[in-house]
Amino acid sequence: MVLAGAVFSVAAGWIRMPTIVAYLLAGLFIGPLTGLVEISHALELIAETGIVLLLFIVGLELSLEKARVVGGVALAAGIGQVAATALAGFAIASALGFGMLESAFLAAALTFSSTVVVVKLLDERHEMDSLHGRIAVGILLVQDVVAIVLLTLLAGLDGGSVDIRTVALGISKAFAGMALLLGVVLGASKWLLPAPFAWAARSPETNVIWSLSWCFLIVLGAQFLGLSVEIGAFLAGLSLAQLPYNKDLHRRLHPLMNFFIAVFFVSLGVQMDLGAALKSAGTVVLLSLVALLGKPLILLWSILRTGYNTRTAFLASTTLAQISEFSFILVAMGAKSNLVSDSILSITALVGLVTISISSYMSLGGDTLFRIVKASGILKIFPKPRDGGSPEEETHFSGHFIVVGINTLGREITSLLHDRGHQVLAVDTDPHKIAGLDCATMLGDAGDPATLEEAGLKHARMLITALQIEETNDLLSYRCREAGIPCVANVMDLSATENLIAMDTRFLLVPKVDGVALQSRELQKLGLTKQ
Amino acid sequence: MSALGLILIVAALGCAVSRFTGMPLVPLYLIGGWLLGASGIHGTEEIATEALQLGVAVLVFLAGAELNPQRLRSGTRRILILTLLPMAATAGAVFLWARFHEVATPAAIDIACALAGSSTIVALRQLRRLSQTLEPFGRLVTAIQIVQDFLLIGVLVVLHAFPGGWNAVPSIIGGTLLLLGAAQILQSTIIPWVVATLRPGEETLLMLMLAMLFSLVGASSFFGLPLVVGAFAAGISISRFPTSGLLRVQIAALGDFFTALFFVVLGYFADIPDISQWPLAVGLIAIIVIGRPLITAILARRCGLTARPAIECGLLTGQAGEIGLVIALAALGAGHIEAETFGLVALVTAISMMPTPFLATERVTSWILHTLPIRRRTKAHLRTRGHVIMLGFGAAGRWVLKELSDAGHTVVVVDDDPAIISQLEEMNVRCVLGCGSEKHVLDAAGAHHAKAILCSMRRVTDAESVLRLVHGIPILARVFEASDAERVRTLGGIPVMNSLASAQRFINWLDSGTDSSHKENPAPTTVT
Repeated sequence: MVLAGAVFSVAAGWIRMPTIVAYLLAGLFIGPLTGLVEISHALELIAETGIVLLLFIVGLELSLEKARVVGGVALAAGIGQVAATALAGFAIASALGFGMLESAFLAAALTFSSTVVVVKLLDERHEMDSLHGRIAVGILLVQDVVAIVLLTLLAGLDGGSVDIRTVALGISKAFAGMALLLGVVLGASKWLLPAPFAWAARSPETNVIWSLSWCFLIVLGAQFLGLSVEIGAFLAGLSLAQLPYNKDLHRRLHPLMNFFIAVFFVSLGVQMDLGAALKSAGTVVLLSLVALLGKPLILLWSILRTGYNTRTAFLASTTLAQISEFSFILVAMGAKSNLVSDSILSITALVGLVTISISSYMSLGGDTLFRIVKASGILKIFPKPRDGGSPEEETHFSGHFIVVGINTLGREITSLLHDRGHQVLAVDTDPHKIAGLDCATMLGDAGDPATLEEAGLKHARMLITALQIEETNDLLSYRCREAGIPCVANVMDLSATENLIAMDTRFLLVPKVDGVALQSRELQKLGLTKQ
Repeated sequence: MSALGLILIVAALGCAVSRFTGMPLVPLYLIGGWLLGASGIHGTEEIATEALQLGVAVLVFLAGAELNPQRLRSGTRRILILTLLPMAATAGAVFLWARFHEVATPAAIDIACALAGSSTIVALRQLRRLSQTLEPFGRLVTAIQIVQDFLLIGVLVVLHAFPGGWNAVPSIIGGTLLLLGAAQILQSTIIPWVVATLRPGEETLLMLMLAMLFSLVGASSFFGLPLVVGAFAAGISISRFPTSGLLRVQIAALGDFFTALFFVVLGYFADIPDISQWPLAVGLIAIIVIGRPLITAILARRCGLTARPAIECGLLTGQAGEIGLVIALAALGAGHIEAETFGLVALVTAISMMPTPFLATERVTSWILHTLPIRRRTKAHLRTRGHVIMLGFGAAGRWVLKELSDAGHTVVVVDDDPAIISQLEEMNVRCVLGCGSEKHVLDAAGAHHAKAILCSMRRVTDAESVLRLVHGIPILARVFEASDAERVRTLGGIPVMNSLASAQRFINWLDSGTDSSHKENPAPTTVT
């Protein structure tokens, strides 16, 4: 699976195909097409872990302040979209000749967008923290709540008849559980987590293992309360997002998530049974259009009504133009209870494949698509945003010095540069080391490309690494050469400068030798040696 | 999911204890797993096989990824001696002790192989903690660990091949060489080309790396080899710069996760040895924690290291290693050893790892230096006046000595390393053996009649002692931290701050406007 994922992922890079689509195609290739792989329990576990990590990372990005900003629009647009899409889907399915229950299932399947796909796409474009990204995630969470209600409803269905008491009890339990879990994580983020995580902050390994164990603890709690693992993981992330180490944790957990989530998408492709659906191509096309066009239009209208600007509303809407893996689960449950036929499951799978693939391109080319749609004048029929809409808040560095490693040397250099009026950004993995500096600071591992990107390496005047870690200094000199930015590196041992010189490092800091030179000057001052 | 959650919670507790006590993580993970198993809480079995297989693959992959040829280029003979002889001596002693306790010969061989090597994870972590990774002896220890892991993987292959009879050995060795050859080609040609030409993104690079790992693991299975051969070959193939650097962060994330998973599950399944086996275990621990460092230190001295780094080298390798656990696990899987014997190896490994952070320290090294039987008594007081005293003869000592001698000064060197003192005495330099912060040593060096004192001892507290004991003479003290400089200044000394000197030289270069035009070669050629 990993090999197929890697091969398809490399090929996808050549044609600018989103990696999600590449993984799905890899899954289709090694599953339904060739039968090379079958899904085992271990693979299911890896895939599930991928979803947990993905949602945990989403939560890590969302501070309560940011959640509050988009909470209103997410609730309004989310509920509005769910209702409108369900009605439209039901009407279209009925018109296509499906029975009432089958139409209801298809409508429900069309309603939900894929949290995993959307988050992965936002992550690929580093837009998780953007306003439209946060709105999209907010809407997905509203959808998740609706999904829990639907699942509870489905569990209460017994051969087509509804046991009202069971359903009411189930829904009440779910909401009570969610309120309880939310209370627990918010309380923990305020009173329980800050002190131990501050204590562990100097040990990245401890921080990573602690955050993962916290995540799985809350996930187990969510499962115990009858909630989805996604909600548990998200809330666990949300609680840690309030700590100052959330971005560093995000960067450290990212590679782990990439591995697990790749297995998830490939296994999704492996499990797709498209046989029956290929015979109902017309239905698939029509239902796909509902997800690809209908749903974004409804969302666009809803978001614009809340006052956001056209671009933000458009990007958030197009990002959500697909159906969800939850749609498969929902329809599969219906098929298992003999409420719908297996052909509905196949149709849902193919609609999923089509909408996930096309929406990935729509999301990646969101700005281009927006310019085209705007030029066409279609957007004039939608409500106008109030007072020009809310601006996107972003921080940019340019022409600055990045100083990596705030040890004594790093601190001296930072201070000297700052005193000369230069714009300086200090980067270190230890929050205690960057605390109290006069210049801009960033917590993170400079070996991670995401840290350098956030530090604005491409627009920097120079990067200075004072680290005493040879491998990281070599890597930073490599990254600087790739970005065309001059690099200055600390050297502890003059016999280990081969890579630095090969990477065209501009200046080598050699404290041991410089110290001797300083001592020599002091000796001259004392009259003990001559110049 | 609950199994994974349980393992991670145990690992988190291990991390907390490690952070609090300074102990290495691996034994704490193992103990956590043991306690989990003893508590009767079940659920871990659900993912045991996958966790162990993935854990072994990632662990060995990480060991292979460290095998950077640049690290092994200098001092190859010394590296080989300090790897092979302590390993052979430890394995021999372990084997004899096990046989003395009536362990069957095949099982004794497996135990000896499993306990022959020291821990790369523990040694490198300690070096990082003490900021000694880039010291010459730190590089040497790193190289020893890398070669050792390589040899242990070879041992694993041979042990795997042996039950098939001598006939199976050539095919197994042939398959191994083939995979290592493939890894070499991947490392030197294919992967650098992929990185330079395709410029894969972070995610694609990770997937390629994992694809290579699982493909080579699959290939080793195809050749009838243990999976670790493929995993090690995959590690080697990414060990060269810049690939190693580009993947460092990704590997670290996977390593943290799978190391925790592997060792907790391993602890969960390891039986705690019966009380009758404890004398055997105690003897094995003594061989590893006392015998092995002693042999390594003696050999290091023989190989030309001065006394302090030789002792540090020995102390850092005084524990059993994680690859040994992989060997024991493979032996258990192949039915060569009983579950109880595996438990014994795990117990010895865990206990032997624990003291390293407390033993491999500057304080213990200094104590050993001062109590060495070869230590000579401080000589009678030197009858010198108007001389310059160098307290500590570090890396740049030779350069400073030359500068002072050229200026016509009589120089007296004080150092606690007998090897350094011997070398200097052969050069007719006046020396005093001992710690420069002690009064009788300063008196012996004639500190009160000196013209100046240059203090470059490691700890600032040593410089403070000198400043309190000697007055009226200029005392220059080398320091690393701004706070230390202030302490020296307060006591009337002249701080020489290396980092400040470096920062100032950088600013001068920047102010000169040469930063964008040409590269400066800042390395003074006079320092060797």
